[in-house]
Amino acid sequence: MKTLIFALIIFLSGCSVVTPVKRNFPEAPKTLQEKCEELAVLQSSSVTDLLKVVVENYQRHYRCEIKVEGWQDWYKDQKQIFDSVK
Amino acid sequence: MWLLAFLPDWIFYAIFIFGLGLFVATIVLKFIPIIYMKRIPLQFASIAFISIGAFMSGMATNEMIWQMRVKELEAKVAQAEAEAAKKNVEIVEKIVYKDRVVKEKGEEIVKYIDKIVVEKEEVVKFVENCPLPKEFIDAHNQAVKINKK
Repeated sequence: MKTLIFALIIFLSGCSVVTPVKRNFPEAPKTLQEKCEELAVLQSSSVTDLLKVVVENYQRHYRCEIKVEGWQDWYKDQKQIFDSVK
Repeated sequence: MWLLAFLPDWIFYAIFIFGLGLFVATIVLKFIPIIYMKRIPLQFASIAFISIGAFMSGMATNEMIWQMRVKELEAKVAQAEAEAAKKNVEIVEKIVYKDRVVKEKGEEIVKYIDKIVVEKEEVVKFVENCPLPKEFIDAHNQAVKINKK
């Protein structure tokens, strides 16, 4: 019985080997990880200021859109690279 | 298997060849009395050596094949990581460029606004005489905060 247990331990020790190839999750660029800016509020009754705030908000929207597109490109590219390793 | 990590591969092949040699010896050298007398236990022992040697040699070969595959995969992973880093740089460059374009275009529009509010007479008059009602400002600011909790 002792011999059998010993033999089992020896043979089963082969099962404890871990997979040696480690893959790291790709790090996204810092630029993409920055939050989008909050929209600006209007603080005066001037039409000029209204126009400027609207322009500013459009800018912020487009800058945020660029980041979202960046994430989409990043995901597409990284997935393609990840899937290419087999 | 851990044995493979400690013992060199040639030992397993040596055990196999030794077992095979012992088995052949029990048949060929049976005219020697001592071998003839002990041939049954010797044959059992040789079969044990052949089995262990064959099993361990097979494992060693299998291990070698796996190690080769691991190295191949490690190379592919390293290449993929380098490619991923390169793509990251490309994406950042693209974002920085587009962001700069948006900023510059916005600044141009603001400059244009600043210019027309002092140069164009009808615009100057409109700006001076038509302040925005508070309700308009509040409505605008509420729209800004639509997504706020």
